[in-house]
Amino acid sequence: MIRPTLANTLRGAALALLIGGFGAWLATGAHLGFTQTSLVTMQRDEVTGIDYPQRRPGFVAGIEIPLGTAGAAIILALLSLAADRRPPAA
Amino acid sequence: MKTHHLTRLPLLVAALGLAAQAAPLTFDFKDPKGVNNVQFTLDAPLESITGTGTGITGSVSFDPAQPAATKGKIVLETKSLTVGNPMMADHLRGEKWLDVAKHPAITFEAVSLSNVRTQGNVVTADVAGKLTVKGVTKDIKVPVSFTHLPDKLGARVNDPKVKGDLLVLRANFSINRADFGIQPGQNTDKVAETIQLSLSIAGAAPKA
Repeated sequence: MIRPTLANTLRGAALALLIGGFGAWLATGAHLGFTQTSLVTMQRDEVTGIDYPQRRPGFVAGIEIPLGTAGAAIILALLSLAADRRPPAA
Repeated sequence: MKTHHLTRLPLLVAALGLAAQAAPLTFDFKDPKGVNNVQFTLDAPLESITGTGTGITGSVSFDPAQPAATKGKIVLETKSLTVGNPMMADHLRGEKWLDVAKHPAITFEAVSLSNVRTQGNVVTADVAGKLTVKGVTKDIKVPVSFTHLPDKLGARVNDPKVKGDLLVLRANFSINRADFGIQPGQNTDKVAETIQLSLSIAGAAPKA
C-alpha cells in the first residue's frame, strides 16, 4: 500500500507527466520535428494540373513534448526525494 | 470597282482576325479558387522547415506567337506565408525575419526572357527580373515554364459560358535570405541561408 505522502504524490505526478508526454507523442506519429498545429495535404486542380497544398487544423506532437515532459518529470522526482529527506514534524 | 472591294473584304476580315489572335493576352493571377501557391523549404538541423503562401496576385502579358515578349509582375502577400508550427509562423512574420507589417508584399517583375523554347503549348524560358523581398530588390534569373491553355477558363470556373484562356506558370528556384537582409549571417546553425522556392500559379484572360 502506497501512503499518500507529498513525496509519493510528486512521484505519481512525475510518472503521469512522463507517460502523458510520451503517449501523446507516440499517438500522433512520433514526429521528430517540432509540434505542428496545422497539417497540409496536397490536392490537384484538374483543369490546370497545379498541385496545391490544402492546410487544415490538426495536431502533431513534436519532439519538444516528450523532452519537456521528461524534464518536468525529473524535476518532480528530485523534489520527491527532497520531500522524503525532510525531518518529520515534532 | 465595287467587286474589287468585295473580294478584298474577306482578306481584311482574315487579317483583322490574325491581328486579334497575335495580340498579347493579359492574364490576371488573382485566384478565387485558392489554388495558386508558393512552397518554400529551408534546411534545419531537426527537420526541414517547409511552408506555403497563397496570397498571390499580379498580371502577365503573354503572346503565344511571341513568348519572348512576355512581361508581367507577380505579387505575394507576405502575411499569407505560413508554416505548421505556430511559434515558427510568428517568427517568420516577425520583425527579425520577413517583417510583414512593414513589408506586406514580395514582388517579382519580369524584365526579359532568354533561352526561349516552345514545345506544343508549353514554353520554357529563363526569365530575368527584379525580385523584391523585405524592401531589397535584386536582379535574378528564374527558369519558368508557361503552359498556355486556350479556352479553358470556362472549365476552371465551372461555367461553359465563360470564355477565355488560362496560363499556368511553374518555377523552381532558390534565393539566399542574406541577399535580402533577412538575418544575414545569423542563425545559420538553426536555419539554412538558402531558401528553395516552388511556384505554381494560373492566370486567366477572359474573352469578351
